[in-house]
Amino acid sequence: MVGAVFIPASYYHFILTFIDKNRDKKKISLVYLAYIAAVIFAILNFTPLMILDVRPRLIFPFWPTAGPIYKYFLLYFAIYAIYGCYLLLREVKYANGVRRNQLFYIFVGSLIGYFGGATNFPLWYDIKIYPFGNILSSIYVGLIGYAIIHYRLMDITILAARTLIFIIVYGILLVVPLFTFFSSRAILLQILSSPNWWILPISVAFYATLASIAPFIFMYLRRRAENVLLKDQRHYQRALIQMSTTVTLIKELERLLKLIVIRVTRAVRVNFACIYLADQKNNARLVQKFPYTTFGFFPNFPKEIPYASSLVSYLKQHRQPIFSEELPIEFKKVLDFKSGIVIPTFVRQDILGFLVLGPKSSGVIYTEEDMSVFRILANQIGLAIENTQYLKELDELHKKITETEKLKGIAQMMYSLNHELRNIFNKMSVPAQMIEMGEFDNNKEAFSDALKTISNNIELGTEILTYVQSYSAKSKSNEVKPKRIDEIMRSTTAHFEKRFKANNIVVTERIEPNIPPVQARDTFDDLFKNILANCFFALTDQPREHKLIDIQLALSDDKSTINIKVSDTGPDMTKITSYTHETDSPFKERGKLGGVNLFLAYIIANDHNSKLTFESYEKGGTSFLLDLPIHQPAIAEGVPG
Amino acid sequence: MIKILILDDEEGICEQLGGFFKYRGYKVLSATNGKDAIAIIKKENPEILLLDIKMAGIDGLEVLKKAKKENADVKAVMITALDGEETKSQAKELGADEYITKPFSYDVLEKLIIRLVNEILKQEGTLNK
Repeated sequence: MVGAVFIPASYYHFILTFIDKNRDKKKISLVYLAYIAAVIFAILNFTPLMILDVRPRLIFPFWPTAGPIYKYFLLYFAIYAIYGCYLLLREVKYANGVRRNQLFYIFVGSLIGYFGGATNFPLWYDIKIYPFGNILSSIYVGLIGYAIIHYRLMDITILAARTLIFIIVYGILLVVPLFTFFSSRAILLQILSSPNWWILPISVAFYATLASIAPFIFMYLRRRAENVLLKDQRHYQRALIQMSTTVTLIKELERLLKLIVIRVTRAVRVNFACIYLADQKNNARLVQKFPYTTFGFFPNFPKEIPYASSLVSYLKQHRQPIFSEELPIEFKKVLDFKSGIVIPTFVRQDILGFLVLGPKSSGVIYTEEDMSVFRILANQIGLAIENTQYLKELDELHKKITETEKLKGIAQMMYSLNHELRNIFNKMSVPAQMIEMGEFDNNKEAFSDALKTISNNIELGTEILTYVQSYSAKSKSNEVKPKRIDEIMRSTTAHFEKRFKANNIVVTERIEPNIPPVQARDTFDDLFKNILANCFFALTDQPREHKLIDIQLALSDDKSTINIKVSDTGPDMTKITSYTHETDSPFKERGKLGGVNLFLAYIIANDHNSKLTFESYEKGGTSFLLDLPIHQPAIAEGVPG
Repeated sequence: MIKILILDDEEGICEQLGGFFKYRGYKVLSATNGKDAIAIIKKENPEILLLDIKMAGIDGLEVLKKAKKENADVKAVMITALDGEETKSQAKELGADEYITKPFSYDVLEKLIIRLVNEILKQEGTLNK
């Protein structure tokens, strides 16, 4: 009878836990109330208040007679049993798939069990009804057992292990001493009257200690047992969680998907797996990716699933990993497999795709714990996929920007080239026409000067075209080599040395020691040549008092870039804007020459994932600035020569 | 005698253009920068300006602006290597009469100058009447 007293409390407690309402304060307070009532009824069970006496009834030699408070026990029993069943029924309404079946079997089992059990009570009040329903209680056990096996209600291995450990621990620690106590009552009484009477309280204290530590021993052993039984499961769950934290680091979509399929297949040891991914270009379908099998057979799954299909709609609505058995029957035509799992992945409201995992090779079923891990994995996969797509878009955008910048630079260069060559042609044309008109026929010196002007300008024009041709030739190769920037800078300065000297241009260099080599293309060799040519033309275009060029090379604080600064005392760029047709051009020419060089330098910097900028103040000269990355992760395509 | 101011930062161009127009009976004034050109305009009040647009410091357009303030009737021919519509319209807005692109031919330039001289003479004649 003591056991029966605890049925309503433990049943209600079980239902609350099962329907995941054990954090509801109101409901859980009813659990405490139930246990308190159960303890009171259990104590009163030994008094006539609960059981008045026992009498022969029907065919039974004795049957208890209800005491005055027994009716309250029945009321307590009925309230908790009915309320527990009501909560179950309510949950059945909202659940679906396997979960719905689990709830349904418990509900039906409970109804049958309680109905059968209730046939015991009439005889207590001398109502002549046989307790024929007791046999129905075993149906309850059968239904729960069926739900355990068929609908993954609980992991039967774990359940058996826990039960066994419980029996052993509590059997050894509590039942054996209690049995010994009752069976050795005579000896104990003898001890009590002997001088060794103190043995008894010590024994009681020892028993109380055992009773106190029993739950801890049980929990410890249970944990150990589960660690052994669930070793493989825990291992792959850890592997999957670890994987879920690293997948977001992968930048390439195809690599990511392959890694997910292979790693999950190997970690969980499933027979097959594949991933369906929403087609980014054409959002109308999900495409199968990386069908993978560990035992040589992959089911006949479709290569594509329409985005508008009812399966996709179902997954979008369900949003959670789902057992293959839970999939509605109409989807079996699409994904026909057993004991597997479908894990949809989302970013916000959009379904990105889903992972299909076949049954485990071991035949062990997927557990609720697995589902929790797959939920985490699905979220992380969603983020990782979005991440790769975002990075891809970013990369494409970067390429477009680079290309646009380059085209802009080229357009500017052509504009400058046009301007510079026209100036040069004009300088040649003016004296040439004068010669043609016979203006210098009587002036040999003027004639000679005119020819010299023409010759100098031919040289100048050729020089400008050489800069363009050099870039064009070097930009054909995309090969990246380590180059010593300080050495290139020094050799470039040496290249201009004679011209600088002839035009009284003083060059100062501030180059930090230990500047590492940079990864650069062949065009890089011309970077300083073009910058220094611009400085040279700017300084010689107009008569200037101080002709200075200052070159600075320094390693950035984080050692990832080299900061380059080339300054001159030539014209500033603050005013030279009004007559250029491109108001957003990266640079404005400072004089009649040097513009082409500046744009070539701009394009070369662009080729090396950098940007040439300038600082210029009125009458304060101009500084060109460039932060050059030491490593070149992505080099833009070269301009066709 | 019609006074022509030639502004070009290339000294050689100034000399050769100057020689060409001097030979044809014009009084030629020349400057290699904007500042000097403005000073000459204030002092000499030339009737025709031959201005190179692209100059370091004060450019041809600024010189034109200042010259028009001094004398609204002054005729101006803008010379540039840039064949941009924007620059052309900017020059027109400032009151430039002609716009030629480098490299130019003396023949074309001379015809332009003659046309401008005729306009000047016409205006003077009208005024005299």
